[in-house]
Amino acid sequence: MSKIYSNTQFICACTTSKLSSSDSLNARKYLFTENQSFPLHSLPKLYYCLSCRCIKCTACLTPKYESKFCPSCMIDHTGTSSVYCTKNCFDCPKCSSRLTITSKTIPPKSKQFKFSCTYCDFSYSTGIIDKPKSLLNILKSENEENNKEAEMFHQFQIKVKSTVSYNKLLSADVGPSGSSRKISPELLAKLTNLNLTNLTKKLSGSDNLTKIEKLENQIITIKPIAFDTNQDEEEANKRLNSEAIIPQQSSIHQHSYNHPFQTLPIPKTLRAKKSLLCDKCATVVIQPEPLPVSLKFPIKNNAVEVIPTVKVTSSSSSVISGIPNSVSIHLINPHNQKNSVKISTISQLPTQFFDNTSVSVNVTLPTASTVLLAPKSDSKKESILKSIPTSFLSEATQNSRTELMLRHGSSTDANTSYLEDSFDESFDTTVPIESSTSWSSVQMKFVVIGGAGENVDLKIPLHFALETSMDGQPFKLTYWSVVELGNFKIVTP
Amino acid sequence: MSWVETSNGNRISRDAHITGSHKILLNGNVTVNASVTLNADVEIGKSTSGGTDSHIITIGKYSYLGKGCKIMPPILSIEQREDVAFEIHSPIRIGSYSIVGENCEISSVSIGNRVLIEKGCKIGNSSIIYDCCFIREGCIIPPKAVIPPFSEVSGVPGVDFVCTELSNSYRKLIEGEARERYLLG
Repeated sequence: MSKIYSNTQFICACTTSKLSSSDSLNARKYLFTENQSFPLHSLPKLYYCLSCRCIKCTACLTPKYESKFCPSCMIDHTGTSSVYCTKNCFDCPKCSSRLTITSKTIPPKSKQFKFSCTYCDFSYSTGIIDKPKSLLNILKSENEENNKEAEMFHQFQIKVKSTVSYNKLLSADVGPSGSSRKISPELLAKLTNLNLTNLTKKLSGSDNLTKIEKLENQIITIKPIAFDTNQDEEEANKRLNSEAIIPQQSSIHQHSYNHPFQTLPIPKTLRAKKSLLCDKCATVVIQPEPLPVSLKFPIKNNAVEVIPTVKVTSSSSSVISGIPNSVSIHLINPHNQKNSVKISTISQLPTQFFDNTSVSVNVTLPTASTVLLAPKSDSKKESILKSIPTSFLSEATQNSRTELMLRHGSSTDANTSYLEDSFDESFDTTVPIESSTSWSSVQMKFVVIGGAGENVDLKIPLHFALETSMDGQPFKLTYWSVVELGNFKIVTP
Repeated sequence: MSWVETSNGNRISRDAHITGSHKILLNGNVTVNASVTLNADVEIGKSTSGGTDSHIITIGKYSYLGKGCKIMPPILSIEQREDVAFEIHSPIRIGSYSIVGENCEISSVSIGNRVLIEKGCKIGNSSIIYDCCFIREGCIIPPKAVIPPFSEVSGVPGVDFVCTELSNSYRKLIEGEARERYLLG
C-alpha cells in the first residue's frame, strides 16, 4: 500500500480558481465538461496555506533563498556572490561525475594538477603552475575562449550598472546644471568664500558631480558590444551538429547543456535551500533550517500531513457494459486529528477522463458521502497494521497474516450482506463499507455504456471537502483530485 | 520461502547469501530478502576500522533489502603483497528506514536514513548518499559521488543523469513505506 506510488493526483487551487470565479461546487462541476486541460500534481509535491485555506502547488508559491551550499563538499557558501563551489569540487564535462584531483610536483617549486573522471575516460592536466592559485582560477585562466565571453559580459555588466547609477544620480539630487537643488547658488558662493571646503563640497554635490563624471567616462569608454546575428546562429548550429565532441548528450541535462563545448572540468554548481511563501498572502509555507546538512524544517505545511491518502482497489480487470461495476475508495488519515471528509463527484464523466470515444461513463457514487476518520495512531507495529485497509494486507508476513485473520474473524454478517447488496440501487452511500482506526473504505459504482469488446482507460474526478483542526482551530479545505482506476476490458452481460 | 526471525525483529531469508555474519550489524526490524548478498568477509583498511564499532556492514532499523540486491563494502585501495593483489575495503553503513529495491548493487560508504533506492540501481564505489534521497529505477550513481539530502536522482551518467531537489514530504512517506514493507513483506 505504497503512498509514494499513488494512482491519485490532485488539482491545485490555482487551477480551480482560474477555471471559475464562483466557488459553488456545481459551477466547478460544469467546468470539467468544457474539456479543459489542467495540471495534475502528486500529493508529495503539494503544500497548504493556513491563511488562504487551500492547497498550493509550487507554481503558486514564491521561493525565498535561505542559504546556499555545495552539494558535493557540503560547505556553506551563504553570503558569497559565487554560483560555483570555490573549493576543489569539479564535475566531468562529459558525464557530470565527480572528478578526482591529483598533483605532481615539478622541481623546483612548480606544480601540475590532473583531473580524472571516476566514471568515464575523461582526464585533463593543467599547465605548470608557478604561483599558488586556486584550482578554479587556474582553470579560468586556461579557458581562453570562455575568458573572452566572460570579459565581454563583465564589460556589459559594468556598462549597465553605470548607466543605472548615472540615471539615478541625475534624477535624485543633482539638477540639470550639476548643482544641488537643496541649496541656492548665492548661499553656495558665500560658503565658498568662507573657505569651508568640506561643507561646500558636500552641499554643492561635488561628490555627486565627480561620481557622475566618473560614470560618464565609464559609459563612454566601454564600447558597445557588436552582435552579429548571422555569425551567432551559424556558430550555434555548428555546435549543435558537432556530436563528435560529446556523444549521447541529453538535452534534458541542463548542466551539460549549458556547457556543450566545455572540455575543461566544470566547477560544481551550488544548491540553494529555500523557503516557500504563499503568492497571495506571503505566509511562509515551508522553511528549512539554513545549515546544509540539516533536515529540520521549523515550518512545514506539507499536504501529505493533512490530506487523506486516497487509494482505489478494483476486484476485476473487466467491466460489464450497461451494468453497475464497483470499486473501493480507501481514505487513510495521515493527521493526528479527527478528519471529516465529504466526497462527491460528477455523475456523467466528461470525455477527458476516459480514452475510448465510443463509450459513455456514469458514476453513481458517491453523491454525498461523509467519512469520519479517526486520528492517526502511534508508530507501534500493531497500530501501523491497524491503519492499513484490509485490501492491502498480505499473507507474506506473520504480522500481516495475524491481522488479516483477526479482521476476517471480526467482520459481521451485516457487513458481508452489505457488500453483496452493493449493486442494489438503494445502496446507502453515506456509510463506509469498512472502517477502522484512521481509515475508511467507500464503495463507488460506475456504469460503462457501449464499447463492448474494447478497452477503456478510466479516471474519475472526486471533490473532497475536508474538516479538521489545526492547532486547536477548525480548518476547512476543499479540493479536487483525479483517481486513475486503470484499464478495463468491456464485456457484454 | 522460509525466514529466520531474530529477537529484535530482523527477518532474514534463508536463501540470502551472507558472509562474515559476525561483522554485520542489523539494528532491528530489518528485512533481508532471498538472494540478497551481504559480503562482510573482506579486509578493512586500518584507518577505517578504528573505534568501538568494528562492524563492516551496519544496517539501521526498519531497512528493507529487496530480492537479489548485493551489498559490497567499497574498495579503498589495492595492495600488492608478494605479487598478490589484496583489496582493502572500508565499512558500509545503511541508515534507518532505507529501502533497497530488487537487483541493486550497493558499494557506497554511507547511505543515509530514509533513502529509497528503486530496483536495478547501481550505487558506485565509495559514494555517499545523504538522508531523504530518492534514487529512481535503473539509475547509476558514479563512484565517489555525493548526493546531498533531499535529492531525486535518475538516469545514467553521460546519458541522462539528473539530480534534482526532492520535496520534504518524502521524508515521512519513505519512513512509512519502510515500516509497511517490513510488516507486509
